[in-house]
Amino acid sequence: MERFVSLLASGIANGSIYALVALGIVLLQKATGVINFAQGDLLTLGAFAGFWLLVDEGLPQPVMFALVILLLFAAGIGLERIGYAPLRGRSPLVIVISTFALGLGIRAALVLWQGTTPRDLPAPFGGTFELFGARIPLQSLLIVGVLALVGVGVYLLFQKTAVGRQVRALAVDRETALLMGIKVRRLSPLTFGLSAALAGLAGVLVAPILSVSPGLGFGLLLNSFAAVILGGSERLAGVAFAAMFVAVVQALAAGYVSPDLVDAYPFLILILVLAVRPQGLVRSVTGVRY
Amino acid sequence: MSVTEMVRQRVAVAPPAFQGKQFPLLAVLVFLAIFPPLLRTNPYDLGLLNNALIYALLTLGFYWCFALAGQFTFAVFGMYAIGAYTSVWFAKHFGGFWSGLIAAVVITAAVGALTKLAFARCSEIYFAIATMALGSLIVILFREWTSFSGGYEGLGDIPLPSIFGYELATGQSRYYLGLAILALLLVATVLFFRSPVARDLAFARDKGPVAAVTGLKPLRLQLMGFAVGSGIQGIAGSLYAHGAGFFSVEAFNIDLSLLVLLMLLLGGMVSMYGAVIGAVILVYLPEFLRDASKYAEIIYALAILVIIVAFPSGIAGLRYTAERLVRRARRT
Repeated sequence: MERFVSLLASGIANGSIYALVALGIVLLQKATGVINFAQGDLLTLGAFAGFWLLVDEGLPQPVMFALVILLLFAAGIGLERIGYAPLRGRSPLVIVISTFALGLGIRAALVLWQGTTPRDLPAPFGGTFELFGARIPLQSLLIVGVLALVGVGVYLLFQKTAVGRQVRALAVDRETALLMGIKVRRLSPLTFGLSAALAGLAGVLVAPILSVSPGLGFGLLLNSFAAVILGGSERLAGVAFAAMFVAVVQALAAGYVSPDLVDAYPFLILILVLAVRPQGLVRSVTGVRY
Repeated sequence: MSVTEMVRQRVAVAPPAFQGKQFPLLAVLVFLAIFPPLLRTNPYDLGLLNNALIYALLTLGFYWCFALAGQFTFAVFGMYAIGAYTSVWFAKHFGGFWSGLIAAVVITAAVGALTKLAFARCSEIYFAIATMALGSLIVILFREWTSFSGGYEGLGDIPLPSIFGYELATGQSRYYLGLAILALLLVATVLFFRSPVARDLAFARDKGPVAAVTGLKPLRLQLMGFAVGSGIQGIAGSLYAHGAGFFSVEAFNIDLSLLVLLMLLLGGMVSMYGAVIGAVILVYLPEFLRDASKYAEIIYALAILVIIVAFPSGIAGLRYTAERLVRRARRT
């Protein structure tokens, strides 16, 4: 029981991280149609930026969180300007290659800036609490809490604001939405920024649990893709639950089957889903209700 | 110019494979490629030459998958690993290098065909993600299956390639073996271009549903192209393993797929020579930029961006890029 609870808790904490990255991917995909392969590296950038502000500059935790989010928002806009704006209208695959190259650029720049030695970011709330005899770090609680907040925020953004309505319209029928005068040129930097900020937040949150190295985010990227594909990218809640599912399966399989293959389980899920049901497990809504 | 002449000029242009003199050109290129290992005989330079050949093969395989079969794949490093490991295992257990090479081709081609079959319903981006996961999974399996692959410890005692009992112990002789294989594959690619299958494949790739209506089998055609490409990647893996004599699982990671992508983008996807040009340039580029080796990955990333924005058809297609620029300049 003890072991099971602690595995489950670590799975849920990891799942929240995957979910944050996956939400960024889905947000961007809905608004611009781009699947961002640099999302994982943006997470790493957030983690390193957090380390730099907190440890090197000695800023307090809340300031660090705010600054990282702002920094990553700016980085997202930069990414849009360099890697997407010049390629608008080219085939989706070309844009994927471009985001992949940008991710590589970020990774290489981080190696130059911070080196390859792994680092540990101090957690805002150190310590653990006990649940059914299992010791669970408070950081896990913080991660899940932040995910819940972000989830509510993204939901409100999508359902209650003009920007959200425009993004949903773009996702349903891109061409008609453009004809109706939605200014995608103004929306796409905004959504790139928002999705990068989500990745940065995930980076700062995951850094105290995993050690921070330049390859950190790229390793997490495929796990988040597994969540996006399993969740079907139609409903945001579906993606979040899919992320939890992937991470919990990963944690339990690593605990009970074989810890050597811990990085392989999400890939297996991803491959199985794409081979059996490429449209995702959650049935996608093909018709639009008016 | 009369109308009929204009029509004839537009319609009767032969496909690129028939333009120019493909086989004489290939013969001249192969003849020129004979000399470098005679001029530069120290082991380091020979190693570079062999590297260039292996990457040229790998990129040619990727060219088949991506440019001909129209399926972008990140699994190149996985196929390369399968080629290397199966080749070594068969060479050790069933009489030498050639059985290993053949097994590597057959098995990687089969894995490639299964990949395309399993992910046939995915869009091209999801296919890219799926192959990325598949390649990583393959390498993880080799990493953990240490009794077969040696894991991080590596594999040694790999039989050298041999021809009629004559062991190819020098880098030079292995270079000529690789060159012969590459030349044969290029000849095969030219022959493929001149066959009706090439037109069918292009049709199936670009207009799948329409091709299906005309009675072609798009999936089967793409499957064939993808399997051939994977098989060529397997050959590259086999040549790498038998040439290196020792390797471990660290030799295979996703950066390899990225490098191959960059090679093809740089060389140009419009021609099969693009694969060779890109591979040769990118193997030798770090030699000229030793001082900047710290910035290699940033340079690669920038290069990919510049190429896809400004020179989408690469070096082999500079002519097309120039023509496009001239057309645009005239129009304004």
